[in-house]
Parts: sequence; structure tokens; C-alpha cells
Amino acid sequence: MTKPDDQRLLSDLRAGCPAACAELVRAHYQTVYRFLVHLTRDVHQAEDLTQETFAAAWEKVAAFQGRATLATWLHRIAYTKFVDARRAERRAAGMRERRANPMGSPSDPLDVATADDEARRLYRVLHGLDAPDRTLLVLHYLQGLSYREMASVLDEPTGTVKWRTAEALNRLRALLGDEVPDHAPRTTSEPGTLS
Amino acid sequence: MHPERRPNPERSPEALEARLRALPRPPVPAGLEARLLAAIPAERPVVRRRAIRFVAAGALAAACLLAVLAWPRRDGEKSIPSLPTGESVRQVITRPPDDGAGVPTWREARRVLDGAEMPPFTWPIEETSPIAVSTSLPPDLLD
Repeated sequence: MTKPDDQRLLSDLRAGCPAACAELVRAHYQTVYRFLVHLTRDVHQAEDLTQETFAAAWEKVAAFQGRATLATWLHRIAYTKFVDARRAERRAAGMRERRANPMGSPSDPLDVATADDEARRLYRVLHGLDAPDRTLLVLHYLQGLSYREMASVLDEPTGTVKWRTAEALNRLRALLGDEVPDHAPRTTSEPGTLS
Repeated sequence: MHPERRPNPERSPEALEARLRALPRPPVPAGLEARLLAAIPAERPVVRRRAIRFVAAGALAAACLLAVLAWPRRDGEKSIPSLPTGESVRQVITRPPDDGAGVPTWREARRVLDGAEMPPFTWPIEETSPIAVSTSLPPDLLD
């Protein structure tokens, strides 16, 4: 969606037009959902957070200045929802990491999405990264956001985001180099925490 | 026996970036769009919020005005004079029924006021030395 389209849609949203709300949903819900699937690695939680993202968007649209695109704005809301949900999970689980089986279960949507073994393996390693690295790589390479847009989503300087993305890519490369075959036991655990 | 390692075609950063961009996208649940569309608020959120703020501000202003007007003064007087009680109001505004029962009483009072039966007036001061109204002038006074 281009910037002029964003401006028109935003003005309609501010006017409270329900058709504009539906247009925003249809234009962006798939992107928001996929972003949240990569972050949460849980389809049900991703659905719930997608709903929460758009519910928050309806409440905040009057205060949205329009400096970023609507897609970037929705990514930021979705990322905030993910961070909040993760914090709540950690409070509930007492800092327990639920990384026993990050990818590869038969019901995993990404396994259904691709029959390509290499793609599946890349997804598995990507989702094995800690959340900050995964977020950076997903935002840039899968969601297609620029470094500047990522900086707006993550509320960090653009240079920092660019450097951190390069570091995350290096860590992904290292994990792919150390990748063991599917039948071997996995011992990876998520070391990092959300910044 | 060691597991067989796979080749690493993604060792190049550029190749890895290209592979990340080419990853297949995860499928989206079929009913998600309908759920999101159903969750769209029916009312106009901006207008409703403004209306709520408008009403809240008006109510606050009215409450402040009432509080200022009804606040008792320090000398104990009330800024607003108390309204007469309902009984006294009725006494003021209620007219006697116009059934003719009070007319004789009214006529009696009127007759007394008109002096129909008042005693005749007598001058209270007794005149002891008559006053000469005119006297004759001496003839040489005009010369």
C-alpha cells in the first residue's frame, strides 16, 4: 500500500468509517499474522495477538500521527503485543522457557507450508534463534521492512538496528553451519531475553 | 558412528539473505479475516470519544458551578436565600374561596371604618376668652 493510499485510508479511519476499518484489516491482517507467527511460533497465540493488534489499532488510530506507514505502525503494535504477552508468560511460568519443541512438530503450520527440506531446516534454525535476533531477521527479510521502518517498530536507532541485524544473520549462519541432521537429538536452548 | 553432515550452501551471507527472502510464507487461518472483521467496532470510535469528552466536560462544569453556588459562607449565611416552605407558599398564594361566606364580616368591618356608628365629634378644648374678630378704627387713625 502506497503512502497516498495510507493517507486516504488514515483520514477515513480517523473519521470513524467502518468501511475503512475493514479495508485496513483486509490489507494488513495476513502480514500482521505472519509476523506474529514467526515471533510466537504458535498459531493460536498468533491469532489472538492479531486480534489484539487490530483492537488496539482501533483505539489508537486517532492518536496516530501518520509519520510512518500503516504497515509499520501495525508492526509496532503487534511487536508490543508480543512483548507484553511474553512478559506475562514469563511471570506466569516463573521465567520458564517453553522451547522444548520450537519447530518440527507434525502440526506446525510452517511444515505444512513447505515441502522443501532446506526451507524447513532454515525455518527451524531461524525459529531456534532467540527472540531479538529472530525479530530482526523476520522484520527485514520475511516482512520486507527497511532498516528505518524496523527502527520505528523497535524504537531503536537505525544504525543500531542495521548492526544488530547483521549480527543476527551471522548467528543464523553459524547455527546453520552447526546444524545436525533431523534424526539427531537437539540440545539448543534459547539463551537470550527480550531487550 | 557420527551423523552425516549436510552441505552448507548458505554459508555466503548473500545466499543466506536470498534464501530468507524466498522462504515460503506460513498459511493464514481461514476464519481469521472474518473474526477480525466481526471485531470492528460498529460505532464511530472518534466521534464517540469526542462526545464522551464533551459530555464529561459539561457535567464537570455544571458540578463545579453548583458547588460554588451552594458553598456556605464563612459567617454562616447561605449564599442562596432559602426558599419559603411549601406551607408558607400556600399561605401567600392561596386565595379564600369565593363562596360569599366572608362577605358579611367584610361588610361589618367596612361599616365600622366608614364611621356609621362613630360617636359625634366634640371639640375637646373649651373656649374661655372669646376672640374679637373685628374692631372699630378710631377716626383720627386715617388722617
